[in-house]
Amino acid sequence: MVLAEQVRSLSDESSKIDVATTYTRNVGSWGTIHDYGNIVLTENSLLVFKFTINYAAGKYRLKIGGVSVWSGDGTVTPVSILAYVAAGTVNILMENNGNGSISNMKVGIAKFTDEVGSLFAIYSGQISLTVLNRTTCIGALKNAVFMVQCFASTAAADTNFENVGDSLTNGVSLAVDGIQIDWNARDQDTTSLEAASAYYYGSLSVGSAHTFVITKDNANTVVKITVYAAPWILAAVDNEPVTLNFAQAATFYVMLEPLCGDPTKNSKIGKKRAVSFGDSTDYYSVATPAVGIMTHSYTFEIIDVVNQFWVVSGLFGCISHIAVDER
Amino acid sequence: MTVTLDSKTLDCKSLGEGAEVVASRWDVWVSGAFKRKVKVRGLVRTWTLDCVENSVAWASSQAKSFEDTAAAGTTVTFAVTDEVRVISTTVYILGVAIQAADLAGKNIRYFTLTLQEA
Repeated sequence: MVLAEQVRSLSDESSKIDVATTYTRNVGSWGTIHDYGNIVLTENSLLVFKFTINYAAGKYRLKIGGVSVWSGDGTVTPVSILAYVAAGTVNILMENNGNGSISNMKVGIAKFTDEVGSLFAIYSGQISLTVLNRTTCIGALKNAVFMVQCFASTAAADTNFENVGDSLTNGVSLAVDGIQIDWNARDQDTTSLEAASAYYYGSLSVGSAHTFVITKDNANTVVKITVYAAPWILAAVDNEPVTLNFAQAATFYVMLEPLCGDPTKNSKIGKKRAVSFGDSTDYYSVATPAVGIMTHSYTFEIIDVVNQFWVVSGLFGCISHIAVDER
Repeated sequence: MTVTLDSKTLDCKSLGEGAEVVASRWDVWVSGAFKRKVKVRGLVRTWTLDCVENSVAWASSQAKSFEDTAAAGTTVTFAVTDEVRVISTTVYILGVAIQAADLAGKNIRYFTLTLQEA
């Protein structure tokens, strides 16, 4: 008996912008480097962005519906972003300040089962999200990856995203479930260009509410934020999306795919030991890390399914299918 | 008992219901003893309906209509209302068995439908 689930809903997925053209603008003030036009969202949607910055100079900011969601200086490229955006018609536009060149803009809509999100908006207070419990064909959901994308600016001043222990000018920090955490990546504004951004991807339990609180040193700093969670998106850290529960001697399958990036993805069965000697002795099965579409399968002949652990990682990738073949 | 299938009211003389547990089994050795474990995946409900038609032309027959639906593989609504039980669900038609009889010049058609919950 083969039981399979498609957790990446391809029937709801679509490419909205796919423009390879290189656009340049060399002006020392903010202005539009290219307006990619409007896209129509028939429901609240996860927007997936990927683009290339060709000059690591000056500053760039991406706007959705006229509101900045991301900034960068081009030292990290290609750029991958997720944003959970309200239904409607929204404009996609890139601005730059200084010498700028961008290309290969790709924007689309993706959708996953079990997803929840807080729509992209100006931060006004604590955000609380719960991914609901559900039993999948390979076991009950356990953890989801929660993604926070923030943009911040302070009029005519610097703005900085703060990690634990930082004390920076016009700092902006994030607390998850009441505890301050480090951002995974930060683009600071140290030249008063009114554009800073940061993101966080973390693994948190399903079935209970998780809170996200932004703290600002300066009340005049404006923070835009979107939070999205699903068991099926991948983070740089290991996530255990499901507590495996199926018949012994069955073969487990998972398919991992690119989402807003095509990272090297990892899928492992086992657990880091009290004294670790590396993956080869911590895990009973390790899929060969790969880009593109990657399948991991393992038959539980000797190793117990119950009390076993399956973890995945690969920032900007996702899980598309899970399956089990029970004898 | 009122029985309707695909919005057609049947002259149903009897209704049988089955529930098959779908599960995988494997053998284990626990505390010095052999055991056979079972992982139940779910339940598949089936129904058998014994129905009759009296002097109905084949072109207008419910049995023919249900044969056509079964061949198309589409799901249909199924509802039963009686004094102790209400069923309201969607089903596949997996079988139509027909037995025709000529009773005192009347064209009697008995047919048995096999249904599975969709």
